[in-house]
Order: sequence, then C-alpha cells, then structure tokens
Amino acid sequence: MKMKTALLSASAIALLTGPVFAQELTVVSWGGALQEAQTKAFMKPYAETTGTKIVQDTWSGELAKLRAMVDSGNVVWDAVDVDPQTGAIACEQGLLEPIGSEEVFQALDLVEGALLDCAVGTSTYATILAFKKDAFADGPKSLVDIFDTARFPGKRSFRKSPVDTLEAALLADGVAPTEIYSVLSTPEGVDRAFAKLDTIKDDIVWWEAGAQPAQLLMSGEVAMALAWNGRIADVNANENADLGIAWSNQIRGFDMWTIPVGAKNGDAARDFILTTLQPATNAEISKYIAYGPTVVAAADSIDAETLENLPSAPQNSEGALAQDGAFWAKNGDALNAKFSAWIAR
Amino acid sequence: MTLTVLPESPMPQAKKAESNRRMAMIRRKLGAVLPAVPLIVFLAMFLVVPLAIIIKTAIQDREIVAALPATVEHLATSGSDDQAFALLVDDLIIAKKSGLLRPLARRMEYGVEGGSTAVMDVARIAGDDLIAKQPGQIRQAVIESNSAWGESGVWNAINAGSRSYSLFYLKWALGLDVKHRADGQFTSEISYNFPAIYLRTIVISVAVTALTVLIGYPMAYVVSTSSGFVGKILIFLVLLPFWTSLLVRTMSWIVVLQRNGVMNDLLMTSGLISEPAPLLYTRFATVLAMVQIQLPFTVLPMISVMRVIPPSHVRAARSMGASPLAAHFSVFMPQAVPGIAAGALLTFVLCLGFYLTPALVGGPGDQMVSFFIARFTNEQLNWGLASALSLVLIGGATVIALPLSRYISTHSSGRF
Repeated sequence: MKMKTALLSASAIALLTGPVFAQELTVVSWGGALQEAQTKAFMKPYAETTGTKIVQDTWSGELAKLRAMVDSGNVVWDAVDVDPQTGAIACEQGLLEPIGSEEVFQALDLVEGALLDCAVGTSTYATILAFKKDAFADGPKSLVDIFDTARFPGKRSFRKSPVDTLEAALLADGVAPTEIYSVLSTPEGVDRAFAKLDTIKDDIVWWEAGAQPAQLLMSGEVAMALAWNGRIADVNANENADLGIAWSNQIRGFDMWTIPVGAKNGDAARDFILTTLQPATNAEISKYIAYGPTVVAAADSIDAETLENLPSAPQNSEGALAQDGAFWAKNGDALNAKFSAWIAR
Repeated sequence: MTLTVLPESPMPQAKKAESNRRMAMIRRKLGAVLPAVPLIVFLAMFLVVPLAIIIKTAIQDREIVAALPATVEHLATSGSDDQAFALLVDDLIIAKKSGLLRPLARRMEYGVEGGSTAVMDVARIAGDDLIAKQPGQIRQAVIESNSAWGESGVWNAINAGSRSYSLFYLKWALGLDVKHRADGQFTSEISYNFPAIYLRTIVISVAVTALTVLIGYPMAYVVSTSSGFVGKILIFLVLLPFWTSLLVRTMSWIVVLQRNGVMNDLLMTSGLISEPAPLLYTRFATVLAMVQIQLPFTVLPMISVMRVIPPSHVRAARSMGASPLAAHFSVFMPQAVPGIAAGALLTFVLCLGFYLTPALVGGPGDQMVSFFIARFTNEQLNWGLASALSLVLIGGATVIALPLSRYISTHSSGRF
C-alpha cells in the first residue's frame, strides 16, 4: 500500500513538472562514423543535460520513407540529418518545416550557405580527390587532376550521379568556382560538362555507396576516386589504408538538420538543433570525425592538428566550391535524365 | 384511375426444386473454399490493395488542377486571354499559401521545358498589388517575369492537366514524347530511354534463363536419376545458395571478379592473360552473378518433374535399339519439358525484377527497370513515373508469362 502511494505521488510529481521528464526526441542520421560522432558530440550531452530521452534511427536519404510518414500523418522522426540536395528536394515537396525564416536560426552566425529554407547546417564535409599514394610518384594536388589521365594513369571512380560529377567536369574545364552554377544552368554549360566527361569515360568506375570509393582504392580496382573526406580519414585511421587526399577545388557540402512537417516533438527538435549550433558544442564534432563546424566562432576552439584534416581549414580551401542544393532541387530531374542517357550510351 | 395488382404467380414445383439444388451447390462450393479464406484475405490485403494503389498513383495527375482550379476552368472554354492571366495570378496567390506551389512547379517541369522556373517567376510577383491592376497590365507583367508565358507551351501544359487523372505518367513510362518546349513543340532533348531499358531487361533475363537451363538441365538429370549419397550431395549443393543471403552472394562475386581478385589471379598465373582483365562492372559479371543466384529456381522444378519419369521408358527405348542419347532426347526429354518450362518461367519472371545484383556488379549500361523504379521512388520522389514503370513491368511480365504458365499447367497435371 505504502509502495503504491509512493509510486502515485512520484508520477504526480512527474506530471506536474511536465516536459522535463516526459520529453522524447527521435534523431535520424546516416549511421556509421558520422552518427557515432554526432552521438558523442551532440546527442549524449543533450540527453544528459536536459533529461530528454533520445531515440536514434538511421536512413540513407531515401525520401520515400519520409514522404510516406508525412502523407499518412504518422511522423515518427523529429530531427533528420540531410545533405543539401536531399534537403532541398524534401523542402520543395513540402515534407519539411520551413525553419530558414525563423529568427532563432537567422540570428546564428553561420558560414555561407549553411542556412537554407528548411535546413540548417551543423557540420561541413567535402568531396575530395582520394588517391593511392603508391600509385603515383608525384601525387595529384587538386580534385580536377582526376581528368588528367596522362599524368595520372589508371582507373578512377566517380559517384554514379550527376551531382558532384558535373561540377567537377566544369571545374576541370577551367570554369571558376563562383561561375559553376550559372554555367551549369545553360544547355551549353551542360553540354560542356558532358564533353569533358567524355574524355575520360572509359576510365571511370562508378560508385554508389559512400563506403565504396575507399574499398575500390584499397583493393586496387582504381587509382583515384572522388570521395567524401570523412570516409577516407576514417579508413586511414582505422584500417591503415594510407590514402592521400588532394584538397584543392574540393566541393563542399553540409550535414544539415531538418524537422519533418508534423513531427511529434518539433519544439524539442528545435531546442536540440539550437544546442548543436552553440559554438562550443558545434566545435565538438571535429574531435570525432574530420568534418568542420558551421558556426563561425566554433573554428577558434579547434586545435591546429585537427584543423589540418578539416575541409574548412584555410590551407585546404583553395578553389573550394560550395554545393548549391537549391540548384539541384530545381534541375536534378532533368540532369539526372541526361546523365542516365549519357552514362548508358 | 385503376390500379392493377399483379397476382403473385405461384412458383411451379419443378422450379423450386431447381433453385434448392442450386443453393445446395453454392453452399457446397463455399464450404470447399472456406479453408482458403485466410489466403484470399491475405492476397487481397497485400497484393490487390497495393496493386490498386500503384495503378492509382500511376494515373493520378492532380497537381495542376489542384493548384490552378480557376485557370483550368477558364482555359476549357476560352484560350489564354487577359482573363486567364488574371486568374493565373489569383490561383498562384492562393497556391503559395496552401503549399501547392512547389508540387505545381515540379509537375509543370515534367510537361514543359522551363515550366518550373516559369511558375516560380510568376509566383514571386503574384501579390495583392498585381491583382489590383487591369487584366491587360497583369498579362504584361506576367510575360515580363518570364517570357515562356507569352508562348503556347506552358498554357498547353496547364490545359492538359485539367483532370485529376491522366495517362501522362504511363505515356512517359512507355517512352512516348510527353515533354514540350516552351513554343509547344515536342522537345528533342534526350531523356530516359525507357524502351531501351525494357529491351535490356528482357535481353539480360533471357540470357540468364537460357544459361540456367543449359547448366541446370544436366545437373537436374543427374540429381533425379542418382540415388543415395551422390544424389544427396548434389541436392545439397543446389540448395546451399538458397540459404545464403542475396547480398552476401553478390558481394562474394565482387571479391572473385575484381581487378586483384581470385579470377584474375587464376587467369594471370595460368598465363592466359598478362594483365588483369576488366571482369567486374560489366554485363558479363551481371549475367554470371544472376545465373548463380537463379540456378536453384530453375533446377528444383526440373528435378521434381524428372523424378516421376519412369526409368522403364528409357530402358524400353534402349532395348528397342536406341542409342543412349537418342533414347534420352526422344523419350526422357519430352516428358521433362513441363519441368524445364516451369523452371525457366520462374527464373525469367524473377530476373525481370532484379535490382541489387546489376547495381552492385554491373556497369552503368546494365541497369534494369527496377533500378529506375527504385531511383524514382526514393531519390527523385516521382512516384507517378515509378508506379507507371512498375505497371509496365507487371503488364509485360504477365503478357509473356501467361501463355507459358497455361502451357505448364495443362501439360504437367499430376506431376507437381
């Protein structure tokens, strides 16, 4: 009897004090090294300081799942990590809350391009040129060297998608990073990109999953590959891969937080996202994965040794191109169709 | 006014007995079907309902009429006059608020080159101050925002989207021209070449089916005629891949076929080639991996049919002086044909839906229809086109498989 009263009063207290105990949050990211890093840098500290119960889920950008949730009115995700294109497409389809116009997010001091209509960047990654160090006496220095089959013979690997591939082709064809998307908006610009790709088409092995380029390089299937820098750093650290990275002309992307329309714990998600954008917390992510912070002030609290391996480091940023998610949301369908026709030819 | 009441005609005795008999028959038939009710319910829920949803998604086309109801209605009776421009701006102001604008822009881009930009450009200037102007001025402002509105292409596209259901996505999936230029002509722009993709799907499936039959037939023969230990070992070898996950089997082909893989090592050490041959990411790799995965599906039906062919038939042919081969081909094989057909059909239909294997070991020119269905479903969220492609795939498979399966069911009575 006494036990029962104690339990009752305990739950009454819980009810009175409300959300502090009852709060729950479902955070979705891409799994692997990234989500582990996010867990250590963001999720665990947030759960500890606020008492929120954080449930984690993973996805790989399959928007169908998100759309099915929103359409059926049963949204079980609260904060979802996206890349800029996926975020822009989902935003266009009305699957995400329009957080870009909210004052709390606009007040943050973020690097250029980190705040979109429906998404806010929490870390930066880059598509870089990774290569087998032993394949070349004098290794490539820039991403565009992937087109130089004379100096760097052997197979090379690109992601089987027009995203990154067309940008890389135009960069290699001498278009300035600031001009890329205006050139790619014209039919002539698209033709120019495909013409450049034609020159090395027979030497390309296409990859589809993020882990593949490192695997292809390590097994000797290809000599160089366009890859996401975090993956390369990861195999270098954990599998003694000794792969080189050419940083110049990197194509920079963001890991971005979004809130699905109709998320059950939308307010908690906002609160969580804002904490990950506090300078001190935001800088934490770079300790666990080679991704840079998006908050300008966070860069100061990162030590020099870590900074060297980040895409955002000044010495790595030469000729960097910031990926335009909105461009791909608008032109993705048409360019995907063209790319698919070209690749099968 | 006279009211004639028809006298109730008494039912003749014979007719009553007839109807009783019929009721009893229906009851008997229902009783026989009753045990199958769970299966029927299951099929209805997980086959008929999803299929109906796919059909609905494939023919549903309501983005335009939902976002521009007044414009669509006006266009049905008159052309793109000043009034149409005013209504367009009106509709867009509402669409902006109700979240129908983005879906509209996307759907317009499917039908006309630059359709998305054209919609967004007008939406940007659409507001209360614009709608307060004269229709003529509105027209001018809209065309100034994007010159495509001065041509027929976008208007035709809006007109074509006047109903909630259309054959737009099905036409697209069948490879017909659906996209116009701003001036109203069909565009020559290269898009997905779906007919070539269907052809490729069928060619790969036929090749894999033919190979599994060629490799599987002798194997099935040996398994079905040998008894004891050898038979058991062989059937185990056939079944082993069955118990291994598709992904694992496909990944193991990557290990075998890659540049520094087992196959290239073997070929190089045996001196057949001097440098690694490109085996992985080719049509060859796709077919090879698919043959290995499909072999059990072809072999098992063959074995079940071959097991019941009486050995005495072949012995009789031999005793009449037929050579072993002649006896096999004239006596044994004709009786095994239903099993061969059943195995081949099963493999062919399964091959049509292959997705993972070509994506992992094939080259860019080896992707089959399912790859594109997955891409439109997951990445581009073009569910209309994905559903239409699925329908074409299901329809095509049915057209090919139905006559064959009828043949099998009439010729294999009592064997399965």
